[in-house]
Order: sequence, then C-alpha cells, then structure tokens
Amino acid sequence: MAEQQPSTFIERLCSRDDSAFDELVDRYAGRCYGYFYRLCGNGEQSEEFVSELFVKLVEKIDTFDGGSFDNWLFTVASNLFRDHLRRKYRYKRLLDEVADQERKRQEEAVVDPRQEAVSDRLQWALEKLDKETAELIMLRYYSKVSFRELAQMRNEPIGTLLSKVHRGLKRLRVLMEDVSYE
Amino acid sequence: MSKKIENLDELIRRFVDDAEAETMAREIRRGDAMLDTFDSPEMCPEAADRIRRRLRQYRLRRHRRRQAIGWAGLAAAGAAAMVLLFVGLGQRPQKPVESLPLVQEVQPPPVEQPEMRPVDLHELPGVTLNLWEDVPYVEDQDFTAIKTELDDIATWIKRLGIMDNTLPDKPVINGETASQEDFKIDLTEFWKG
Repeated sequence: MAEQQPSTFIERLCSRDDSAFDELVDRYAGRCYGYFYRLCGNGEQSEEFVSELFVKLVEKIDTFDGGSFDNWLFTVASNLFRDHLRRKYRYKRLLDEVADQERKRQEEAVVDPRQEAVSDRLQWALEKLDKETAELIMLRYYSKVSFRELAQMRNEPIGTLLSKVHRGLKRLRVLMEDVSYE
Repeated sequence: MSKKIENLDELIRRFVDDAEAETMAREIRRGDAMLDTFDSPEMCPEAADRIRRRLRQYRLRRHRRRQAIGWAGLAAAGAAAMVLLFVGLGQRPQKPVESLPLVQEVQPPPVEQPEMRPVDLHELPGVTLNLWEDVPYVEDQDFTAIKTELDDIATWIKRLGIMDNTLPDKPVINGETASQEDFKIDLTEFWKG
C-alpha cells in the first residue's frame, strides 16, 4: 500500500512515463479491487471496474492539481461506480435490484476458489445495506481518508457524513451479530 | 488497514452533546475494527497483468490516435496554406476599393463648351433672313393677266345674274327654268370667248 506519495511518481505519471503506469497498477490495483469487490461482490466485474478506473486516470491525469493523490484517485473510483449504477439502473430502483441480482447470482453460481475467501460475512452484511451507505463505508475504509476529506470528496456536509457512516457501521455490526447468517 | 489519525471525539462534539459524541465515536471505532478483521478481497496476479496489458494497449491506441490527429491537422494546414498561396498568386494587387454611396446621382460626363463669342448670322450656313427670297420669281405680267381674266369672269357672272336669287324664275322648259336654260347655253358657248 502506498503510504506516501513520492512526488517523482506523480511527476512521472503526469509526464506519461510507461513505467509509472505499471507502478500505478502495482500500488493501487489491490485496494481499488477490494473497494469495487465489496460493492459489487463479483471478481470479474471488479476487475473490469479497476481497468476502467485506470483508463480514466490516464485520460484525466492532466487534471490532477496536486494535493492527495489517493483522495483524487478514490474520488474518480467513487464517481465511476456511482455513474455505473446510474447508467445501469434508475437511481430509485438500483439499490434493491443490484442486491437481488447479486444474491441470486451468488446462490446459483459455482463458487470461484479465488472468491471463496471473500464470500464472507462482511460481504453478506454489506449487501444488506443500501448501496449509498455501503459505498460510503467502503470508500472511507479503502481510501483511508478522514471525515473532513471524505466530506470534500463527496461534497457533502461533514455532519451528514458522520451520521451516515455511524448508522451504517452500527447496522453492519448488528447484521453480523445476527444469528440468521449462515 | 491503517486510518488517518483524526480526533473523532472532538469532531463529533461539534454536532452532538458530549455523551452522545462519546457513544458515536465508540461505535465508529468498533465498526472500523470489525472491518479490519476481514481480509480484503485480493486480485489474482493474472488479473493485474490483464489490467496492465489493457492499460498499455489503451495508451498505445491513444498515442496513435493523437498522432493521426496531428498528421491530419498538419495535412489540413498544408492544404489550407496551398489554397491560400494559389489564391494569393491568382490575384493582382489591387487598390483598396472605396465603398460607394447607396444612392449615387447619375451625371452625364462633362462636355467641353466652345468659346462663346458674338457671331454674325450671315456667317452661319443655311440661315436665311428673308424667307421670300427663296420663292420663285413670278412675272408681274402673268399675274396681271390672270387677275384681269378673273375680273372678267366675275363681271360676266354678275351681268348674267346667275347668283341673284331675287330674280323671278322664267317658265319651265323640259323641267328647267329659263334662267337655267340660258346659263346652259352660255356655258356651251363659253369657249367662243
């Protein structure tokens, strides 16, 4: 995980150095994959999201105006996922539809050994949450940003975000302590 | 997964009272700790390779597309330059054209006026001061003869009294009056003088 942002790496990205883009994948693909996987619950689709995200980064790297690269990258990732949801479904219906489809797919599909490890209780509980709250919790978790930064990224009041994250985490814990999960 | 350090309690206290802030902060920390107990889904190395490959292909395509656009732009600029060059060579340098007024008064070209001086009318060709000079000459003698003859006729007519309606009509012979009969005789003998 990239704990620091060496300016040379960012500069190499901005100057479109080939090796810098390979390094970008090495540094961030895992985290981004985890973020997308926790939201969609599908390895193949998550890989597609990560590919699309890096393509967008190549396109938009010129718009990066300094600051935290992680924040910028996860803002793009969050927008990508939300755009995907908007494109695919009507905003009102998408939450239930996505959850239902994923549940059915998981029930019917043969379990991929690669995915077996992550077909865990957390994944199950996240699917019970509404997509917006789940996305917010995962965005905060994987991007490792503070609430202040999260508020800037989402362009929402910090109090509202605190409340949403608090409620979501509480609900997750209740769900995972629920005996109905098997 | 490590988190950025932030003073959560202090942040929450800005929105709720102390007791509630403490509870909220505790629950958020417990939630974060719970998330940390789960392994993050990991991408297999093949997937990472596929992403790298796709990224390289995309960048290559993008580079070629930009190059093609650059060449196309260059070609277009060259063509435009050629057109301008041909157009420029085809035109002679011209004076700047002054804009004409919307309504232009049409005037005849100026005519040079001859120098004015007093002219004697006799010098002008074909000008006749006395119109009668052109009438052919008539001999006074002929005119007198005609006049005399006409006077004779008038006297003769007067003597005969043909035109005098006051005279009583003579007896009608063969449907004609005596006066008409006499006039007829006179006419037939008119040639005798």
